[in-house]
Amino acid sequence: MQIKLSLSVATLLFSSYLYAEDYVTTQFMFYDEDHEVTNIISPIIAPSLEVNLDFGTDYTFNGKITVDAVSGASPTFYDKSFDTSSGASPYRYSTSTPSPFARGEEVGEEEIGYGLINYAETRVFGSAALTKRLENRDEMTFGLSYSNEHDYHIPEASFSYLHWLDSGKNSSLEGSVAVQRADVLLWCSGNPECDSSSGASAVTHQNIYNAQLTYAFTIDRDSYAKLSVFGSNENGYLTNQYLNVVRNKEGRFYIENEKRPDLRTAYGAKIHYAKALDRQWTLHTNYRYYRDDWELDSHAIEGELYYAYNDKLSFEGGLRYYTQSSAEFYHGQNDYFTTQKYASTDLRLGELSSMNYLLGVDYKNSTKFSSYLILDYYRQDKDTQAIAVIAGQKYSF
Amino acid sequence: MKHSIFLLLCALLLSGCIQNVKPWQKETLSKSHMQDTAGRTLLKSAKEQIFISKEGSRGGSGAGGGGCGCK
Repeated sequence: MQIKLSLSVATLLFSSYLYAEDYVTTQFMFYDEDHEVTNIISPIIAPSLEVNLDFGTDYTFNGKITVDAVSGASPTFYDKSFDTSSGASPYRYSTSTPSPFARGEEVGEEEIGYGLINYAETRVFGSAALTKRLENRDEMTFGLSYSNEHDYHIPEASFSYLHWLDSGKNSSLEGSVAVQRADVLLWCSGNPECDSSSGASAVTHQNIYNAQLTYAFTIDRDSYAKLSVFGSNENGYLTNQYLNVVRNKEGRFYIENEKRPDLRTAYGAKIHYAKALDRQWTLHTNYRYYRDDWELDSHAIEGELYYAYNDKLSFEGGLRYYTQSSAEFYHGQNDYFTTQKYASTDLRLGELSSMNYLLGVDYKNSTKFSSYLILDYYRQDKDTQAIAVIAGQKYSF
Repeated sequence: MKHSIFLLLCALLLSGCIQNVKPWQKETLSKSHMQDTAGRTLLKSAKEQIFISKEGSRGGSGAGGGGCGCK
């Protein structure tokens, strides 16, 4: 017990994996999304499980599994002449069900529709990480994860090294890298990326490399800060295979798959500051800056406030403001493309801003059990709003 | 790039304020509320998934984190 306590005091600050305790956490998220253009609501329930186990003082294992589908349904263009009266989607992703319309064929301007892809997708995500503490208490963490959707299969390997900069463990430097290689299942009908003209599927790839360096330090006995710089490189098939654009070729209209560059390089920085205002109130603030070579840059600022009513009951509230500029090849849905090489109307690549509001309560049922309930509301200026109710329970042993 | 340099300068200034906090003085720092999202990593992942699926940028939460098709 004494060893665990000292470990928690020394390491709890700066490692996301190390809490120097054995625990199991279960979490359920109910997510609902609404888009004012299409008025389609897609409720989703996402259960998660996390296990954290210490093996002596030198090893910690952390495993997680999540089943979710918080991918959202992005609106896109389709051919209205397809009969949707049956309630079927105007666009099918299933490889066994050919699309109701072929991309690249001429379509009358009056038949061009704009709406959400109706899908029922699930993502199963699992990860495992093993942390090894060295004699000088530096930490190495090896991680593997796998994310599976019917059309995306994404294995990832990661490694991080945390080095204490002083004997009092008041500052540390942590470097982490991760590599993903995603298999992307394409719907081939009308897709020039495929050789097949039958509409059969084909697999293509994305490679994603992430790196981050974090400097963390205590400011005084009530506050600390972290500064991170990060970068990423994505290459391969980065186009969203489900999203369409309309091309106006000398007065003739065609619905085609969007097209993005095959390379995206991004960098950014994040600063986190946490301070206990008194014995009951704790403040967290975050600021993140991001920029990539698609000319998209963004700012995110976030604040969370915790209030400990007593030893068992605490409350929290949070606000997050986000704003981003537009990618250079993005056009709004009212502005058709002509012969541009790259073209997208994905709202996530357009200029936007959003607010996120969070309210929560945490209750310690006993020394071993604790529960939390979070209400999260997300509102974007592109007529999208979402609500999430997240309930979790943690059992420590 | 200017923003990154600005943040680095801020960090250098802040790092000048570091106190040598002794282990027995870290009671407050070790409380769960001092951790990001109070140490609830599943909650943190769920929130990030919502943002990633609605916005065009990501990063700053560690190099790893798994994949997201995010249609």
